[in-house]
Amino acid sequence: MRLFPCPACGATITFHSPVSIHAVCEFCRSTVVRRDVNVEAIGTMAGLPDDMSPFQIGSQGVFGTIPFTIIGQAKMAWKHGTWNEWFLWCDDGRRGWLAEAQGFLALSFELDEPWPADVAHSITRLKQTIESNKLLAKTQAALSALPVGTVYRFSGVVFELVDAKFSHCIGSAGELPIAATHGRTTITLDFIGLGRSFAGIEFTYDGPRVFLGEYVDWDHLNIKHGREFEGWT
Amino acid sequence: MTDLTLSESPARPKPRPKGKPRLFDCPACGGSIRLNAVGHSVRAACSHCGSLVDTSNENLRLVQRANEKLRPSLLQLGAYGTLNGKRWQVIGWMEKRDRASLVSWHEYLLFNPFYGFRFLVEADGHWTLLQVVKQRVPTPAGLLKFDFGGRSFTLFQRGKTDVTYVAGEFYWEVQRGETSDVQDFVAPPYLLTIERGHGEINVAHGTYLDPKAVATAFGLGTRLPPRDGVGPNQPSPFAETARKVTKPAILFLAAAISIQIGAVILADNETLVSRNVVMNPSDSEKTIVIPALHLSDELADVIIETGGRLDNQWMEIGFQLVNDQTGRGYTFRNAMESYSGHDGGEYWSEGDRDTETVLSMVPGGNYSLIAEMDAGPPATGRDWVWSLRARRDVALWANFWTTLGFGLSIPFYLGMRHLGFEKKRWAQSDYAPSIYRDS
Repeated sequence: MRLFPCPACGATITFHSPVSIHAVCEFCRSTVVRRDVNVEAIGTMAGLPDDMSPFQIGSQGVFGTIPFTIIGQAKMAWKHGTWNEWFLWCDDGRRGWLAEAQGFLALSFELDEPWPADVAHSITRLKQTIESNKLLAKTQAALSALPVGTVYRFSGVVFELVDAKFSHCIGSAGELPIAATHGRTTITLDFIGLGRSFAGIEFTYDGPRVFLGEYVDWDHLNIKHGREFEGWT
Repeated sequence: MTDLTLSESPARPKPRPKGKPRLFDCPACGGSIRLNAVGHSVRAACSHCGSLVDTSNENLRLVQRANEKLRPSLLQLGAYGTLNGKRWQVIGWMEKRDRASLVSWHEYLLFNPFYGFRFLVEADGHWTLLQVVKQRVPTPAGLLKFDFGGRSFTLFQRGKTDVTYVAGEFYWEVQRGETSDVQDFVAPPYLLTIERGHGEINVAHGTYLDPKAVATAFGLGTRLPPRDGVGPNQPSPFAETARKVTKPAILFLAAAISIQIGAVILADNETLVSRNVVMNPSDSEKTIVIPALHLSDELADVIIETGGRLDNQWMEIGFQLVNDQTGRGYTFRNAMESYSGHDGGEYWSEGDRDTETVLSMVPGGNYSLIAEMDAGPPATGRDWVWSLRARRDVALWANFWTTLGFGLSIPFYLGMRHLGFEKKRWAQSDYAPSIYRDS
């Protein structure tokens, strides 16, 4: 854990995870980016739009047998709605993401390079389509160049592309391993495999990031310190 | 500055205020719209003017202007109900219509902040609770059958479905008048619905609900629509019972068969006497005595079979089986008759020339069998002839067949009722498996 004074208001900003480089000051909502031993303010984060998510920063749960704590939130938006990406600090040191969209929960971990051969091959295929069509410079309609139903192989599992969309972060809280700046063009691809397996790929001008995981049930996460609701217990 | 693990410093920020519905003004009529699934719902219909509003961001764009009163629905928007142990809130409903048959049904969207969304569908009084499936489902078009979750699903219907009415809020961009291609597969009580439209494929898996459970959950009381016919995924009550009786029935039959096999193997099957008896009408006594029948020590059944050579006559043999030592015995009668003739050119016959009596658990010893015949009408110039056979410890089959028939009748009855139920179900489908087709 590292503590930094907020460059804007002086309050303490905590980086729980060594991989976090981006945080929002709890008090003045300044956005800071970590540069080695210092933090730098890069702007102010607008208030997050409210939602009925049962999670919040500080919620704790388990994935299988691994306990985790939610330490960051990125609110993502696309043409037809929004979803949450919760950043998890896992007790085994891995950085996890809990995607919460349309009432479904997918928990995944970023797959670091070097990728297995089949992942590298699938990424090359996708990258070629995206680059040759200059998709990152286009709009949602152009994503028909990535037809749903196409099959790819990641880490020995067959996955089907089910969703392709342009997304951007409209707000964040807590700490994140990426700079969650507004308006960064991202193509988000969702894949489902057999059973409950899930894969997500994000393409930006910086290149692709690969996430592998599975769909999970609220009951199995055993969430403590979750959000409370009026009329619901 | 040092790196520490989180468990040593659970510095939790202060919790967010309690989540609650959000209110906003309808951009068309200014009336207040209440959003329950905040953050999820991207479409909401104004309850005052019916206009559809884009709620995916703060701009609240008007999508479809309307000016109509909210239609009443069986389950009211905002109502809470507990189904299968989970509490749900009704946040939207749609009326859908099959383009070919013009049959309509209602789909309610249910929300729970922890468990997401479900669909509660009511068609002809049959209720099904569905959840979207996040799993690869191999669904090539034209498929009649496929396996999912270890069950074999059969195509029940397919067609184009129009959304004819929407009210409440939805997590997708619902529109009145939109069309999708729908295929329903059934494996009662389960239903798998595959919906194609707008470049998306949605698969939902559902389970049949007892209408009473829905009535209880949402306090419908007697307003529950009556069930019409058999629902596509309504479980057959006979299949359920048949499953329950299958094991006991098999055990029962297995027991009956093994007992019979044992009886056949263990039976002494000893013939005590076997002969023809000839009596002349002039015989004054018409009585014969068969002495010195020796029965072994163990208790055993004795069967006395008689057969009369009869032609439009009757015969009755009165028997006494007497123990020579104790003088105790059994008294019984074997009656036989045989009549036949022609009536209006039709041959008829009735009666039984053969009959038998079974004496149970006869103790061992020396016995005499006394038989006294009575018969009529007399046939002049002809002898009365009848056969007599007495056997001891014979494996009897009559009881076995009765037992077998009884043991099979319940499964057979259930099977027939089940078949009738399935025929009723598949009568509404164009894809009925051949065994359920009437023709």
